[in-house]
Amino acid sequence: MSVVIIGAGHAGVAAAAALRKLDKSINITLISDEENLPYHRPPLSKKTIYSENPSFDFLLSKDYYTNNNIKLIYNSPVEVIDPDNNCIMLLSKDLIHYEQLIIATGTQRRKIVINGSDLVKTLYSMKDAYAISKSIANSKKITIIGGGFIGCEIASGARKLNKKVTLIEAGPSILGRSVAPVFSKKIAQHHESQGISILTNCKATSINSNEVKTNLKNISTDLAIAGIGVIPNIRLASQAKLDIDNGIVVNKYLQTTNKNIFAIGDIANFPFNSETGRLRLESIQNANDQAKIVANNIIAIRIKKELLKYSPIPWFWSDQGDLKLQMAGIGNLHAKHHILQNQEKGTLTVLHFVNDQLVALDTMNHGLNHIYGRKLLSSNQIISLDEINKFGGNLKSLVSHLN
Amino acid sequence: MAIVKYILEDNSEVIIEADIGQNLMQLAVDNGLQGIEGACGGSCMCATCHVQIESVNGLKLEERSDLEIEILEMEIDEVAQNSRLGCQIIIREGMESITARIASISNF
Repeated sequence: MSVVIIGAGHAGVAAAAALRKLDKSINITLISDEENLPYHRPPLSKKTIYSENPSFDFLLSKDYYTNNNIKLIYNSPVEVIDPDNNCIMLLSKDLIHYEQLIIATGTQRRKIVINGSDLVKTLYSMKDAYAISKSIANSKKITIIGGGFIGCEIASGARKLNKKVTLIEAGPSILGRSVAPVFSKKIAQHHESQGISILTNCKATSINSNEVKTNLKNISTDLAIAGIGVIPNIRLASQAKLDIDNGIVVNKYLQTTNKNIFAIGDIANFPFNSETGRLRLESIQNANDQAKIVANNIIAIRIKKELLKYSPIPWFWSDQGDLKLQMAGIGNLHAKHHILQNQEKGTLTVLHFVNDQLVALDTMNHGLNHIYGRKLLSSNQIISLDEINKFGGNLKSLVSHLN
Repeated sequence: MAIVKYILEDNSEVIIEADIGQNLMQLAVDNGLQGIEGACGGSCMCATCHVQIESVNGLKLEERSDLEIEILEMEIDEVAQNSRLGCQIIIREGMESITARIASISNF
């Protein structure tokens, strides 16, 4: 039996390793379009680029792939998937046959479309990280376009290096799509107290070598970096006539509309729950947990065992200067947001309730509440605000009570 | 500096010299050891750097924090007395050697 995995990001590599753990004999081919050993991506914006001589964390050693008979093909974009003949063709025109195919092609950076956009740096790969680390070291005034997690991480990291940092966000608040408004407001206040200048409802209109022009003002700039999100890499899947809708549509077993093809990681659009519907997540938790499920299910099909469903408690994190932000569950802007009272100074915990049921928590510098939150969300019980208040907002006591 | 001996899943052993300030997760990742993933980058969120400490010579390890205990209990089916998160064990002055068995829940 042979499994081919397209994409050697976290999901693809984790799936290869998980398959190998389950089955020693199966042929595994892992195809990367990068020239280097697969690496951890989250550190790029969290630590790597703030050193002039960046170092990288590899997911596994080079020996691992050899010793475990995982064929890692570098630097090889896939040209096309031929689902009728169960094979793929590389750019080199080489054909590789599969019995099962896992698509883990992830995302690509969203391009900024304004005058002078070629002067704007973006951070996605190891190669970008090398370039940006040099640029940051050589710049004094840095403008970050986009106030999502990556933009906020880069703004904080650059500020720690004592750069003059301006963060511009097109929407009304930073982190607007990701966390409760009361939470993002607190984060913004912190960043401003550290000397980052934040401009919201601010759109870049053009860029030249010494300024970023926006609808609000012109910002004197040596270096502009955009973190305006990513879009799923659907070209191959769409040519192969798989169902596409904000990524590749998969069922709860992570199968696409072709029974021999699975999709995992940032590209997979999976059914989450009745309230939220379908989700596509860009996170390590999602990549790792889906890798485990897909490995299990590929073997299960072979030995005619029951397939596993993917039903996660999603979690995320973001390091922004002195702040560690940890998010559990899927929040929602229309949820009722409640700030947990009587917490340690310097921390913040915001709970999201939908129909008076806890669905998510945003925590700042409070790892324990994050973990209690994940325990509450996985308890399969409806946790209301009343329930939490009964325990005086002490999540630990509530967790103990439920056990 | 301290000597860290990792025992891998296949019972083979890898011996690494660690500098003060390094932690057992990052040390294993830097050396490409299988079974230690450090998926959350040492944020104490995932337990993919789970190890069991078999022996310590020199300065004793600090006790597990409440956070470390909570994440171990959530992620590991059977938490042993000597179960630790590698990311939370930091090499300090006075430590001589540590033996850590990799007992990861990672895919890797």
